Amino acid sequence: MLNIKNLKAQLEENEEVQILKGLDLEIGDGELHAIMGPNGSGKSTLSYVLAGKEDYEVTDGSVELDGEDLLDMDPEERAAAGVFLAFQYPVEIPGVPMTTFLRTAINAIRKQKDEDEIDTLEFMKLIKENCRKLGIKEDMIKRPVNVGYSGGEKKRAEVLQMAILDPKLCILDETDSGLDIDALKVVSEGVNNLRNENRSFLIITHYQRLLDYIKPDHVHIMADGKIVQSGGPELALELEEKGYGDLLNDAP
Amino acid sequence: MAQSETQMINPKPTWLQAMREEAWSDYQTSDYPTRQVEEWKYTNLKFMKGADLTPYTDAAQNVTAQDLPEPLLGKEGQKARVVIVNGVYREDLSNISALPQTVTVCPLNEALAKNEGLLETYLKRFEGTATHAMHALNTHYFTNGVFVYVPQGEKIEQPIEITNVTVGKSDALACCYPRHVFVVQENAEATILEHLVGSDQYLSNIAYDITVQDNGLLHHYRHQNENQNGGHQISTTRLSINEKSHYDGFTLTTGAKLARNEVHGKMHGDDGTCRVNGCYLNKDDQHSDTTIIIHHEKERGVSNQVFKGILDDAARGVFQGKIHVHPGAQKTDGYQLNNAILLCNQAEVDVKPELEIYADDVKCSHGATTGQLDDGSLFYLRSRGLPERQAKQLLLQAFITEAVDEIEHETIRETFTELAHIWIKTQLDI
Repeated sequence: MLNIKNLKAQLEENEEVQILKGLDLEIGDGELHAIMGPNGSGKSTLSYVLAGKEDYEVTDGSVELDGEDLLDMDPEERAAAGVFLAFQYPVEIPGVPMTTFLRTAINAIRKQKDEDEIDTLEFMKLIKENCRKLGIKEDMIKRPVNVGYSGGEKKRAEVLQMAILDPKLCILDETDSGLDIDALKVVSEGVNNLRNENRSFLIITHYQRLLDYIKPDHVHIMADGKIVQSGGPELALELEEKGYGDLLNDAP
Repeated sequence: MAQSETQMINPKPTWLQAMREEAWSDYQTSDYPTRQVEEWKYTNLKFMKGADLTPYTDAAQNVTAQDLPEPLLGKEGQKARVVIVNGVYREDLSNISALPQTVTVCPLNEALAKNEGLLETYLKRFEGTATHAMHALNTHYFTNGVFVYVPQGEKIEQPIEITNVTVGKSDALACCYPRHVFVVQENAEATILEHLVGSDQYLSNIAYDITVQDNGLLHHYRHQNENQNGGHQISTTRLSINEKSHYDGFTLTTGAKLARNEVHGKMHGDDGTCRVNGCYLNKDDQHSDTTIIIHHEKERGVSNQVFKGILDDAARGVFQGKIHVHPGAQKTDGYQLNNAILLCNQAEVDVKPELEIYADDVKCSHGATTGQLDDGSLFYLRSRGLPERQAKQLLLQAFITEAVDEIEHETIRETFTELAHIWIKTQLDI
């Protein structure tokens, strides 16, 4: 699915700040990988670079999604290719109702794939079904995108978008931050429902807590712009116990 | 010379002659609007230099029904329509049969001939309201216009559209002077919609004298879509808002090479509401100026100014808004907001919000922002599959929503939203 080799990236406006320093990562079809790491290790940058944010400049390395060069694509082309980033801080867009936004996004992706626009009934059914699964009330999606949403509502809305846009690779950037335990359960369940053999996940998180609900196949520890250790789910537990300090010192 | 020509256009009552003469001397003695005059610091009238100021009415008959734009609410939606060409009332192109018989919609000159006293009352009502050289020119030269009189208790559902066409000259500036008087009496209601268009080079110098009597309601919406290449428009609106009366005004500015939309609102009675809102959407070298002063003279008045501007290329926007709370105008609630987005480095906006308050128990606030499209929002939309251009359009459409949503009349709100969206989609190279 995803193949990252020796990825190096820096801030567009400050070339002296190298954030990713030669990162390698391979995610197979249907796999769920978690990346953990201390603040400033470059986790969020990795998610932005994969989604195509223009604030970062890739200076070396390659990223392929099913053999296609992802770095050569605009953000919208990446979305059409199947990349979805659930934002840590979803952006508020006053004046655009969430339903209008969802429909616009579905159709924008369909258009890029030369497919017909979604018809109204099909769209309504899709929204209704997924809102029910995520415990999203109808009045919430009538409101402007993320405006006045609580922290939990914003994250649910991200998972709703993920569900209806049907991506191949889902990147979740600290989706657990700011969630209480009930919201965490709902959001995790939403993610688990989307897991299948053709869809892969990259979950970025600070805490093991999320991984109690979303079981990873692989766990990676990131520090100073690289993956420094990889293992199974047990690595997350070990990390929780020892903290980053010990683990990073142990690292070869 | 000027006076005799005016007389030829319109023999008028003596009080009006006196008004016109006084206006001429005001024009000659008042500070001509230049950058040195504070109120005109940001809007330059040098395009008028050397122009023949006399009303250009020769072309008024050149316009046929086929030349007119579609009514703003569509052929089906718009039943009452009045057409003004170069300041001349074209009864042959107008149709007001859908309006109740009790309502008067007629040429201003006809009203002056038939009911001189009434017109004297409503034209003189505004004496002492601040004026300027351009308004004085209108008073001196005005040719004709629309007189709307809605009698006590009459509530007209059908919006009245005024289609204002100006046929300019290809080799010189043509000057035209429509003058409109709207009177909404006690407990009456009306909706007036304007579409302002033109061709070639001209200055459309328009003046409005609007009175909304106690408990009256007037919706007044304008789509200023003058010729972008040579059309100039200066409009001066004088409002008299009385006890518990309500004025809801909105101007959608997309046209004109240079436009100034100036509103003087006076709240003469307690519990009045004066809403003057708008959107200015400009590109190339367009210049649009919105200047508003609202006088709160009585208690519990509510005034609202919400403006959104989008400026591309080397377009320039000006917003000067003032809320003046007079002594004794307690519990005044004044609000003013101007947000502008500049899409290009050459675009410019000058904003001058002012509060002048002489009462101690009031709530007044103003805010102004100028910025660019937000990169974070743009990335968010693109990451969901929207191409850059579509994402920008969506953000700009969202940006103006807060202003167009102020339009109280539902159908017209939808129409104006659509007009603004079309402008964003078709006029911007983003």
